[in-house]
Amino acid sequence: MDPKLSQIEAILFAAGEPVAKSKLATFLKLKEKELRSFLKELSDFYESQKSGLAIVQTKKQVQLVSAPKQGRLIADFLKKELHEPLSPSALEVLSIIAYRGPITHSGIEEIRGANSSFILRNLSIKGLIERKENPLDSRSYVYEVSLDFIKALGLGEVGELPDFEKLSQEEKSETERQEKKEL
Amino acid sequence: MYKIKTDQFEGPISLLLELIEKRKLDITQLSLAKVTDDFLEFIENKDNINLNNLTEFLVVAAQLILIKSKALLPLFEITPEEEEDLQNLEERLVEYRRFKQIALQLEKMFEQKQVAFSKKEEEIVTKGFIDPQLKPVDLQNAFNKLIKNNPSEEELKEETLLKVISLEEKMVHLKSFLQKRIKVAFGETVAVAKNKTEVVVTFLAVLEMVKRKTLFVSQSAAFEEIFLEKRKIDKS
Repeated sequence: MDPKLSQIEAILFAAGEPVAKSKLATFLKLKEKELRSFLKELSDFYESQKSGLAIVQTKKQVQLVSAPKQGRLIADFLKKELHEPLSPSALEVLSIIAYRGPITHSGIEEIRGANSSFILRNLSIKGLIERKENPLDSRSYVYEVSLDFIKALGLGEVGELPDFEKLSQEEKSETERQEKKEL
Repeated sequence: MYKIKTDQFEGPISLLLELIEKRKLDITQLSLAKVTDDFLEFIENKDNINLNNLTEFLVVAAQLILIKSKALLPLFEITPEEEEDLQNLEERLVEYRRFKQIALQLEKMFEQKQVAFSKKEEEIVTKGFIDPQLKPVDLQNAFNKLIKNNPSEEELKEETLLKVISLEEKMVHLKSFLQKRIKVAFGETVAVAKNKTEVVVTFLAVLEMVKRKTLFVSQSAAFEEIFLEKRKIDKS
């Protein structure tokens, strides 16, 4: 194993909690791009070895977790309740945020044609989504799926969702259209 | 697998899509013209829609009527702006349908319960330095020394703390006594006292109230019964 890879693994293990990629890169004197490829390598390594460990990540964070394939086993062992089923509307909102995030409240409502405040609050409480300040307009917020969402679905990152490439491609045209409208 | 069937539609887009799918139609302006009546009938019966979104339903209803008018009257011309709105409605339906399908896929993924677990930050225990010369007997000596230097525990007498009624509480109590009656014997007020302290506190309360001039006390002779009377406030 590459020494850097082993260092990353050790840090992620000891940290336990999600680690900011920027912090990790600075600490190990790596460029973000290099870190990204190391993380990919580590993730592929776990998968090819059918390891009990896995890597989950968002754009900004990375965490070492138990392999999703062992989800039921671990839940039984820790006697943990898994997520209760979500309502169809909550799933709709969640999928819009997963594929089109970061997306504004109004962007979500435009797709659904219905008020979604209550659902957004609920998903936030469940920890499946996160709210951040909108970089384009500090008066509003944008929503993104959380690391917990990725963990609950047993993915490595949000890009592994079905048809993600195709459906998130339209994201640009969608936001562009919205931006034009706002200008 | 189960499917939750809701009769309430949260928004016009979900209702419209359901109506189109019920008739097994594609999303085209022609299909929209066909389901216009169904849609209008649906919102007439307001019980089925979420009133918070009524405006949204009405906007879409207006657009549907426009589509239907256009379909029925070939010479009917609409503005480019209206045309864009209608185009937009179609796009929203396509988009919404896409996410409705994805939502079902997400549901399946959740149901597989392939959950990744993580842990809290590790409490790292550093292995300390241990003197290689250390023998078990050294530990024994150290322990004995410790016992010798440690004074034996002093036994403390157990004492229960009693709740003592406060002067303030007692004054309130006396006042309420005198609200019911004009004259009360001191003996009566302490008849229910639980201990000597309470009798003392009651007497102190009486003295305090006399000092504040809210109470009038009389006694015919030494050691006779003391009578308490509410003192009328002299307003002059």
